[in-house]
Amino acid sequence: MTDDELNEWTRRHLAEYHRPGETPREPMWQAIARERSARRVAQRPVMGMRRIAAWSLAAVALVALGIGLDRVIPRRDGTPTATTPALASGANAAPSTAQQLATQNVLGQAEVFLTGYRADVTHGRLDQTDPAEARQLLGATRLLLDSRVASDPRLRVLLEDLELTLAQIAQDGRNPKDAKTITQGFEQRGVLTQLRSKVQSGPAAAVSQGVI
Amino acid sequence: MEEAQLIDRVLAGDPAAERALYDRHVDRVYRLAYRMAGDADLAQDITQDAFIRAFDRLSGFRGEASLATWLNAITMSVALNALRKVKRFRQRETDLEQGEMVGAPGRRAEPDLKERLARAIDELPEGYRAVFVMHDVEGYTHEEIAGTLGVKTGTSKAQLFRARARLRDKLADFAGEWVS
Repeated sequence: MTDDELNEWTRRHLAEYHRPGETPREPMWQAIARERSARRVAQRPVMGMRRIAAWSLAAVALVALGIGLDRVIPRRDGTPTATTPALASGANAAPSTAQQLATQNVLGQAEVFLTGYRADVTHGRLDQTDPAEARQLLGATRLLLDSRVASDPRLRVLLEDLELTLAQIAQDGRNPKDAKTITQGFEQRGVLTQLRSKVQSGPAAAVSQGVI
Repeated sequence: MEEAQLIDRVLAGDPAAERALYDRHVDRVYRLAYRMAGDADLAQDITQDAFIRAFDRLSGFRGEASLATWLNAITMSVALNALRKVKRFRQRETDLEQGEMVGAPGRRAEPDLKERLARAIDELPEGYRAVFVMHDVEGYTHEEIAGTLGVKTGTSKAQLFRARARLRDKLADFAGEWVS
């Protein structure tokens, strides 16, 4: 075979070199949109990732305070407090303002945490995941599950999903194999999407708008 | 919609414009990523990273080259970085496999010429391979390649010439035997 023949043969077969299939547009776009959303969250000045630990502690304290106040202070309109067993978890028991604020805080914090965690899993930075943050949020989530806010069936399902996810991260979140399974699990259940829809303007905004 | 308008809308934070820009360029970006990577998962990662970087840096796009060339430049940069990491990883795997195969009997069958061609291209030096894939496989001009890789047109031509010469050398011994 001459050089010319070899060149011709090569040219004919070059199209087969690493021939791409159909472009997987949607999965790639979903990944890009998720990452960009995570970056936007991470860039929020008040809710920067460095403040996660402080916010976690604050969220836990706020939930405890909100639930505690609700239990000890009688309502102005005479509605029985959560200490009244018959109505403690009834559908008509509306959560107090303190509890609503605490809920927004926890959900907002969970959104930031899970978004950051997923990015850490994607980029193999699991050493940056702090299980203590997951445990703190888990505690806050369980307090909410025991409170009036869990009387909303949709919110209850979300809180239960969140509880499961946070428990998994607290226990096995730094193991790469488990981390992928955990991430797939909360993505399939749409936990982040639901969190985002529940967190309307974020806890920082709620505080600055004078809720408390 | 004109590209400049689309870019302005993306910079203004319009998600629909982001998607439109993505749709307009993703096939070409993915194609280039796949040709370089030869692996669907890696090509997806490269494409995603390239677009994420592009959106992050879009405010710095001056319009000196076309947006397509600018995106290609980001794609090739991401791809070459990714491939360096993969190469290091595969080298470690190969070292381990060779350690396990010491003294193993038998003779591996020679691959056919197509496989030999693919391997020869894979083994080209990074710069040669980038130019060769863009020019001979994907059909870019030397001007486009120069804009993408940040080299002079003459450099692109010289690297293509050397890449072809290397391939000829690598394939010559096998051509007569394996092609009928």
